[in-house]
Amino acid sequence: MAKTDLIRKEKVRAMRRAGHSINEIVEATGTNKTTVSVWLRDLPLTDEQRAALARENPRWANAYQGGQANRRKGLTARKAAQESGREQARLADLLHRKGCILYWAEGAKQKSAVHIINSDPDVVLFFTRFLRDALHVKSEAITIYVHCNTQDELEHTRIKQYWLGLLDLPDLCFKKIILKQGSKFTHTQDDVGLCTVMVRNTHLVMHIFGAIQEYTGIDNPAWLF
Amino acid sequence: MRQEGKTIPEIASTLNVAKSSVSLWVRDIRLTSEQKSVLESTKQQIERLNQASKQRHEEGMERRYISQQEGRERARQNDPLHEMGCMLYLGEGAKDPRAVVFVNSDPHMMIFFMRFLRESLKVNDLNLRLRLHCHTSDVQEHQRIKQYWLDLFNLKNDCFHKVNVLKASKTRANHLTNGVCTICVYDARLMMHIYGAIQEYIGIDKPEWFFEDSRR
Repeated sequence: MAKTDLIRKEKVRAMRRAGHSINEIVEATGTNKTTVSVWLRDLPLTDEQRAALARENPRWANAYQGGQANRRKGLTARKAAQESGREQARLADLLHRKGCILYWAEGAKQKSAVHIINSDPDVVLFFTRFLRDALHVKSEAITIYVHCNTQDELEHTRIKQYWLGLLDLPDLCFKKIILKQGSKFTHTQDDVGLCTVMVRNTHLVMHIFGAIQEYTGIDNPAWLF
Repeated sequence: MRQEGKTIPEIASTLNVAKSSVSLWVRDIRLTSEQKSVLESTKQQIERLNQASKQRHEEGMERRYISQQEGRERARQNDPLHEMGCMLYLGEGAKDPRAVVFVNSDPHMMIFFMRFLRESLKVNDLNLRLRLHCHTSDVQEHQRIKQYWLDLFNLKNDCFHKVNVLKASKTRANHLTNGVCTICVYDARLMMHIYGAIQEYIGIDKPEWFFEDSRR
């Protein structure tokens, strides 16, 4: 960051500490609103400052209240979903247990989508089986992406057919091919690329996270997001 | 030199001439039967060595097969900790046939994996080796991080044999304060045990896991 920007950032932060609203800061310093928002993200207002801003601008206050309520609602829903995962974990379903632990190791720790990336067909196939048989995910809800490093259209069709055939999924599940040029792929990855299996469903993610905690006896509040 | 009974490769390497040239130049020299028998016995020796290495290879395959069978046997006994450890290894472990290598920065996962090694596979603390990757080159900080992991695993002796310092990327958002820890157990038998168990657990067959170099 340039020196002038640093000075400006300090000024922006100082104004926030004094309790000004983001719009006021934008007007006073001429900095882009998005930038201001990013710079202030780690700088919460005190309760009194927030109350003062709310008195000045009731519309913002309402929106803020609404946002907070939504946040709480989401959190409750995520807690409930984790609890459902824990419950299923207590049933000692073997496929469920193996799938969850595999997800702990290999899956993305993301809030809104169950998401695993691998080039090993056995792993991808097993995980899809887990999604279908243990979590009752419908085929249509699964999306797959493939990373590969060839630009050849024919190869793309072949790779697409390979994964769709392997996982026994309809055509519309295939989202796209992502080109990864110049990266060092190993031999297998060269052949069929890297496959991403994704299910966009926060409830399901939380279910798995809950189950992992129950199986392994750990407690990870960070997974509630 | 050929008249003294030297072999063609020997002559070629002492004189630094191509083997094909030597062969051409000595083609008209007849060796005595005595010299021939000496050469013949060297040849047999080489043959024997080849035979021995082949046998070693087969013995190794046999050993690995037995270890994998042990793993499969264990997998059929429905031990949850064993199963979970193996599944974790399938996702996160290194696929190096000579050693069990597990790398992660998540303390929960590392503790769990350590429990799997100790309780399920009966690994002795003395056979554990740890490695550390971190972004700082500050030696005092290294000491702190090492102690952090040792305390976490409840290890008395200093198992760390290496600290790797990596250059931090400037844009990375989640800086890892405690670095990335690696647990190694240099035991090929154990590794094959885990491989066997994984195959049994998820119902697959991976013949390439028998070989010493399965990294293609």
